Amino acid sequence: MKLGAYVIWAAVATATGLFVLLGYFFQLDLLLGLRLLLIQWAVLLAAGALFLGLYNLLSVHWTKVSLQEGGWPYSALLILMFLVTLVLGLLFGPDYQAVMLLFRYVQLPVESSLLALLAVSLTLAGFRMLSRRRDLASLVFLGAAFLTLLGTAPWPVGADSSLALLVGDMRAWMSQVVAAGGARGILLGVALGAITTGLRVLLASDRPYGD
Amino acid sequence: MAEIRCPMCSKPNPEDADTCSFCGARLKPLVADSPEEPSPVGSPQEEGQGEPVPDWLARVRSKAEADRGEDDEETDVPESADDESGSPDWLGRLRQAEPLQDEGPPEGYIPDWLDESSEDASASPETEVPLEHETPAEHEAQAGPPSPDRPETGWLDRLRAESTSEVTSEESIDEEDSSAPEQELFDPGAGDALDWLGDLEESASDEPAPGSAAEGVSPWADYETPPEAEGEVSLGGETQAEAPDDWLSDLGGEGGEPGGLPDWISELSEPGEEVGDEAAASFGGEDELPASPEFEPSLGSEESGLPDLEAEPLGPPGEDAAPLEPSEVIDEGQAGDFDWDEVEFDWDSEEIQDKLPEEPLEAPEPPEPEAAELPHVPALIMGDADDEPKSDVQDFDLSTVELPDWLSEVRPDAGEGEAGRGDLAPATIPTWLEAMRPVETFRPVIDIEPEEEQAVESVGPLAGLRGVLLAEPVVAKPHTATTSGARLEVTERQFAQAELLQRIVEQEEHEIPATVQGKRAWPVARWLVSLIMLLAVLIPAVAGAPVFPIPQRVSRDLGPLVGIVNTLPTDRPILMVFDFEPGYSGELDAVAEPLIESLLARGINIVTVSTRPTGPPLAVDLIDKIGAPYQIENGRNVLHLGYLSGGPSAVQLFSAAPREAILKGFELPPEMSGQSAWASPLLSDVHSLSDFGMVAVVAAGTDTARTWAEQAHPWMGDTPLVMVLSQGAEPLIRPYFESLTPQVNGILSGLPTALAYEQLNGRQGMAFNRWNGFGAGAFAAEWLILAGAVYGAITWFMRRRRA
Repeated sequence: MKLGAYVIWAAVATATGLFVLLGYFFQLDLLLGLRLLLIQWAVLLAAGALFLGLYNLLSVHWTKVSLQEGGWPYSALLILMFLVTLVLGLLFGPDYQAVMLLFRYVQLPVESSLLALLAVSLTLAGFRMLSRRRDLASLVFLGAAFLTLLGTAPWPVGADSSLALLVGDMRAWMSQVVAAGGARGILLGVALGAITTGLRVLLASDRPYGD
Repeated sequence: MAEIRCPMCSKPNPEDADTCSFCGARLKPLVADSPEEPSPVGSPQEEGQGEPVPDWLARVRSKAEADRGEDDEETDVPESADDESGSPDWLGRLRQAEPLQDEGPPEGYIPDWLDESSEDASASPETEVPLEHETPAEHEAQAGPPSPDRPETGWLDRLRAESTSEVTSEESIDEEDSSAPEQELFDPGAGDALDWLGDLEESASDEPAPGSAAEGVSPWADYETPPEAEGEVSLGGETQAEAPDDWLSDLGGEGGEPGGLPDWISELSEPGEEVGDEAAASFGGEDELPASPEFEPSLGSEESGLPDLEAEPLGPPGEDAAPLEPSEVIDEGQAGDFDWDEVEFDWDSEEIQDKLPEEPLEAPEPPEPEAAELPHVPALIMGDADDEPKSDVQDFDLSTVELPDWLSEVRPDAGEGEAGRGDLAPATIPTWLEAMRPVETFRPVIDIEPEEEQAVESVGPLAGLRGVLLAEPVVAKPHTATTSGARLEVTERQFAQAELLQRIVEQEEHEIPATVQGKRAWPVARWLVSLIMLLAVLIPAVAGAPVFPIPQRVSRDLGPLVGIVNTLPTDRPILMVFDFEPGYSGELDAVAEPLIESLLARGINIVTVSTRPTGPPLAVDLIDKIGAPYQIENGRNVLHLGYLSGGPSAVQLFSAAPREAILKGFELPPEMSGQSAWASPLLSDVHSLSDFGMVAVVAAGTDTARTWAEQAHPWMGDTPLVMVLSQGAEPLIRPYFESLTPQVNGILSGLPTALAYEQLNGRQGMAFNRWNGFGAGAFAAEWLILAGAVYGAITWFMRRRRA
């Protein structure tokens, strides 16, 4: 393997990781101070990355407007609102009343409506599922969804019946046993993956910062 | 390296090979070559090294000499002891050789030359490539003159020439030995006309044997084609008709006698008479041939010190020898009896054709130097060789010879003399060999024109020669292309890929027809489901009915949470993290409301923060809405830290050093304008996350909740961590709550639990207000899904029934 500048970057990354990691095991002021400093740098870099994301979003939609591509009016509107919010935020702060007004009466209702449409779309998908795809997985999925809804939502009649209690217990068992079991498996996998990734970065075997 | 041409397929083989590597035919015939005579060429040196005279021949020879008065004392025939059993050695060899007549190539084998002829009709068997040490003229001479009456081709001629050369060499040696004065004829000092012969003698004295296979290059190679050599070829191979005249005329010119015979021939003719006389005296008459064809010490041996060519027997010419080749005549020592200017060779005459195979018996010739260079294996069945002893026998009275019984049966035929001998076939070709001969259909492919019409080669090394085989019929003639070599071997995968590529190309060429925009079907199901869901949510909110009963069963997760909230110290603010998007506010606001209300009811100050930009406004609106009844004041009961940028790192930083993570606040009170949120007396005692009374994370997604649970927990100490979650995120956070050392101390999720918490607080909030709509919408969704499942099952069943 040819030596190069990546050795420096690898050494920096490894040392940074080791200092932060050692701060969990040794409560030394030096380690804690160094750890906090490094984390602050990381936060600043993350903020810089946020600005890069904003710049990328602006440039993409600006290109659409410049080329008059399809849906360019939406891009133009996005750019307009982006600039207005940015200017207002930079000038008056994020808690300015106009900005709060935009949030309360534009962003909040729009996002809530989109999430409400999700409920309708999911219901429609459940309605069509057996008509479009009839296999065991579809039946299981649809049965689990129906049982969870039936166990979660109130019954107009017979809410205190044994059937309602049985369905409620089945729903609890599904969410706290079956779903929790699956969730634990997922979390264990995520944890193992995070450990492996961290070790690879610490050992400079994986260099996401480039060679 | 010397090579032996296979008599069957005419392909070169190593000299020491016993069988042909191409066709498998035997290269060393058992008839001609006995184990004692390994060289098929019959090199004079080897032959002169004490080849024993067969006993039968010695017997016959001695008998004949005895009958003739034994006047020839020079004929020294070593008489070996006869086999007492009456079965001589030569008979045994003949019997051994008989099965060889049936010997042939392997069954089904087709020689290359025949195969090539069948494939390409233009390829003639006569288009034989000359060997390297073979001059084109020699090659032509070997190919023989074109004669439509003589279909034999070169390979057969070579066979005959080979057998003839052996026989003639044997005879010549024998005769030379029997007539010692002949050596004086070829004395280099005899005359200037024999310079070439003197050169040969010198070379022969230096070299072991001119005709040996190891010699490689013939002494004739650098010299013009000797008449003996051409004559030798002509005997066996039926040379071109022009050859004798040409070389004779050339030689005549060189000899200083324009238009006459060369000097050496003239000088040869005179001693020839002498020798002829001596031979006649020896054998008792002019018509008698040299008695023995047996090899005696060769001239190429050390005894004579002369090359084989000096051993030319100059016997008396036969009566029918006039039309023969001059070389033959010279060999017989009859050059002086002929007027060479008047000699005309009619090669097509039957007389010559009949005579040609028999000439070696009458006019033995010296071993051909080219034969040593091109060692050809004689044919397995050699007619000439068989005829030779017959002719010898005819010279004697066979009645006086003691012959075996089987030979006595053929005695009358053998004693017919010259007349009977003339009826014999020149060679006996086995039937299988006859069947493999090139048929006449191949010959017209290249029509060899008469000599007069043949063009003279103008370029190349053959420039000036006439009758050169043209290369155009072979080279320029268009051949049928062989498909085997050009056929590409394609694997199945390659073929599939080629087909795919072809389809792609074809599809590219096709014009895609414009799709007719038909009327889009009205999305009845979509609109119907949307309408039902909308009505299900609106009707309870507007009409207040139907009313869904409040659940009587409380979630088991609510107890720990209520216990934590109820035990929180009131002098320490709690931290609420609003990490959810505005779209989830409809659910999470209702879920978080009872918790916030209980905190405010207990007089616990609340500090909010968010890792999302939309979090602080949501926090402000929710707390202001909930805290209105409790008359909370911003900066006194509630403080908003605002947005915490940086993701998980920021969470860790905030957990370790909150004051360093957030330098400002959100919607701070007017009195704190321009100041940091940490300047508020509400946070005066807060320096770390553990200084908060409780941390409550309101999250809709699992990632954010896990981040706080994992990054903030090490810094929280005894501060409890509570999760207010959406219904969908609860299963993934529950493991943190249900573990033995829980990282999450309480969970509040779902509208039913919030409603239950409200019931505990004794106040109807957003959960209660949305309960009927939530129930109606969920109920509608349940029935829609059920209806869709029933519809799908029915249609599927009906389709199967139709099918």
